[in-house]
Amino acid sequence: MRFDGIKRIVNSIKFRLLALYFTLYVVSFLAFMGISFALLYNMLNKNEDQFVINELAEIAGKHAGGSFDTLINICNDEIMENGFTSLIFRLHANGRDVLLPSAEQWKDYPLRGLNRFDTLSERIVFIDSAKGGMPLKVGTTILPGGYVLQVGYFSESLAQLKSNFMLIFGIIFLPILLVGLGGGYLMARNSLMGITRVNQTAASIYRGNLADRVERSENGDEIDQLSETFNLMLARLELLIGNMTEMVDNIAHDLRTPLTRLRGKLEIALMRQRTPAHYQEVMQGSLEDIELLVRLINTVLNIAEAEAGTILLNKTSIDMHHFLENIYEFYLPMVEASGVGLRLGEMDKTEVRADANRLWQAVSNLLDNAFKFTPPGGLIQLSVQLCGAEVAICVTDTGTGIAPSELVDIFRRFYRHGEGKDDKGYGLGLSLVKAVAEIHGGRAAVESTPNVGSRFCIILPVLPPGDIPHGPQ
Amino acid sequence: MDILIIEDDPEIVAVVREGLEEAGFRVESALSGEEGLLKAEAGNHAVIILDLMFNGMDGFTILRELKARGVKAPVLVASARKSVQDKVFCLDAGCDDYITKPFSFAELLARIRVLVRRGGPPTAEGAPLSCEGVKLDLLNRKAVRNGQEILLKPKEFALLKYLMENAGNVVTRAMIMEHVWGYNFDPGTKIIDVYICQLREKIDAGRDEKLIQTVRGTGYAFRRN
Repeated sequence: MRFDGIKRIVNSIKFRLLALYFTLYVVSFLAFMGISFALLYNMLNKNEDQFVINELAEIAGKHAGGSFDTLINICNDEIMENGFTSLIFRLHANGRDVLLPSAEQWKDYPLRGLNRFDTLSERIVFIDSAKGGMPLKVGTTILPGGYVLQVGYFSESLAQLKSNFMLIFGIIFLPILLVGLGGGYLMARNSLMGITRVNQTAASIYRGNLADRVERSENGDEIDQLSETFNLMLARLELLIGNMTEMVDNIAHDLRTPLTRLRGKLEIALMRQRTPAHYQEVMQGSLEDIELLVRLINTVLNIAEAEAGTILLNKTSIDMHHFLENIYEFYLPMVEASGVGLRLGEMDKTEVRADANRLWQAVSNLLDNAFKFTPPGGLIQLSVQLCGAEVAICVTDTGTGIAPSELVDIFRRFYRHGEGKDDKGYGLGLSLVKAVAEIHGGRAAVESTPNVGSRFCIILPVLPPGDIPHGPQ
Repeated sequence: MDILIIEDDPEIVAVVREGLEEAGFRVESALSGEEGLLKAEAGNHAVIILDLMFNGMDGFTILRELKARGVKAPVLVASARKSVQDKVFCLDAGCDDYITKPFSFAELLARIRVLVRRGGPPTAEGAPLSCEGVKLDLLNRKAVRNGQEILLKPKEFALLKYLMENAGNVVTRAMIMEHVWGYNFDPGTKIIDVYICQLREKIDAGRDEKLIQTVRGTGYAFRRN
């Protein structure tokens, strides 16, 4: 349990952001300190080296091939000039050391390492004090006459630099850690503030406040984009739920009507003794009502399934020409029965991958509508046209047409167009057509002129984008 | 012939039992999955009707268990779920046919008859179909009533053939759609009615004995009134 708690904290984005920020902060700080130190150290070091080199050159210049004693005098003069504290000299001639002028200052430093004159020449070496004093920088030069001159310089400023840096580091390191932690915490909190807002809204919606929306900070960052997407999603959901409520109301209404009829008929039949023929008549009527109810429920379920995109399509390659000819033949008897002509229009050769059952049902809904709204003597035309990557299956009629104001609503569930020849429809046919077109990655379209006719099309992609079911737009 | 109903709703069992007994079957019922499995193993049923929405034991489990225990009788699944997935899943799990609630009795009986026939001797392919004075020559696609040839369009012939294959029994519009046109959905009423109407014109018009009957609220039947 406790381990789980720790794991949860470690896995939280807040903690990870904080840790990342803190690490970066401390690493940057250490890098900054390190680089500053290296630069300063390097500069001072070079200066000191230059100083030693200059000193050697100066003495060599003054000596200019003179005697050994002259050399001693020159060195003594240099010491007088610079003071005892910073420079010491060592002269070597004929296998003999002359430590000038205060031999005891050399005592702390091992001279053994300074005796390979030929290799040391023109180089600066660092020698640590044996007794914890300042490190000594020693330059060596071999002068004419075989004299060896070594100049030692107490490298005071380098040592100081080191100790100062250590001091500063020691003082500010802890505050820097704290600032890093604090900054990390603030940053993590600020960047997650938007998420917290989204989270709170989601919780509020969960509690039933469907109209709630995430407030936006108006700075257009990613969290704002998330909030916007989230709000759009909520708007869509609200719309869908609204639709669903409307649909439930409509279904309830449409169920009530046949149910009331059914109940009335049965109750009235049972009020007194009747002839067997009467009972038979009532029961047959009841069965018809039940059939209507079952069909209504099935259609609504079909649309709901299609719109939710959960439907399993049994897609096959359909030769549209052949397919529509079959439907055309299927509907031919309607011509005689209704007095409305039916013919095949433009028939492009094309294949579509679709669920034949559902496509048939959709086209058949369009034809049913066309027959319903076209007066005798009119003409219905069934056609299929290839337009680029799309196939348009169209049913054109010379029927009553639809007013432009109604066109928007025509594909909505339970929308009934006013003047049908019979009033049996539930207003579900076209929304099924639309749902079927959309699950196939296509769409349904309509154009209509009142009193001239309508043209309904199911537009499908020739090569649907994979077999992924498409949700409604 | 015996039929076993495995269904947990006693009222549905009562209705189905009554209907099946009326149609001449003997009916045994089981209200639980366990009971159903025992009865299925013990008896020699012509068909088993299994309800998919079963409380307790899942319908699919019963179905698999029936097959695992070597029950030979064909299983007709009756389910309130209408999605194609369920149907596919069910057929994969070994059921022989599938019917959606609320079903019409005509359809239930038709499906049972098909399952029973499947177990029986096969009918000769292309043998003439004859019933109530109407004769169908399936090879030459000719229809004759009382010695008089009737000219039929191909779909009218197919429709008459389907009605005659189920002579005496009711077929629904959805069944006609499925068997005559090969499309599996409820077509609404109008167009099948138009076809029947045209077929009637050719078969029954001008004759005293009408053979194609409308069964209101259900479908059509080929039989004497």
